[in-house]
Amino acid sequence: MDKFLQGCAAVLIGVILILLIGKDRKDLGLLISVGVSCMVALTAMQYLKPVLDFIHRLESVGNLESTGIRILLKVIGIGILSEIAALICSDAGNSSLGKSLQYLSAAVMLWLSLPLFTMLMELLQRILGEL
Amino acid sequence: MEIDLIFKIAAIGIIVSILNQVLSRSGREEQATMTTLAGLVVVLMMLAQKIAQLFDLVKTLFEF
Repeated sequence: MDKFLQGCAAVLIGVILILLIGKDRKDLGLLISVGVSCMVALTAMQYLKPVLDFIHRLESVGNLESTGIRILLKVIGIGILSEIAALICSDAGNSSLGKSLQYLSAAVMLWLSLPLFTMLMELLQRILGEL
Repeated sequence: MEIDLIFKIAAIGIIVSILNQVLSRSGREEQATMTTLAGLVVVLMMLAQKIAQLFDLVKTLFEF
């Protein structure tokens, strides 16, 4: 819980410093926002680690298929990273770059989820074949 | 959480902006530009490590 409070404080301090420095040097203000986002994301990842360990435990207890869960985890990671990068791009006034990054991440997510679609299609074919 | 990183970046920003103003007032525009560039590179080098750390953590956590 301490880290959460530290994160809140870091974000508030970062915003004030960006307001202070951003008047003269917008580039360094943006770099502060990148640094704060990195630190907050690192802290969030540390909190997410036990949750992901629990998901792995659920996977082993419930005998779930690991490929599907691996794909889902990868998609979550790509989503988090691309969202952070895209928001920083739009903060810097380059929302077109942020949008293009979001398109790239959506394409990678679709490419990653192709095996899931194939599995679904095979399942549908099997069910339809049995009818 | 390393809050000192934010303060370091802010301190570099303030120093660079002061140097920039002093140098540009005294007519050394080129040196002012080079100072700005140097400050930017130093901050970028500091941030690159953090970004690499974040990417590594995401890679290991989400099994890329």
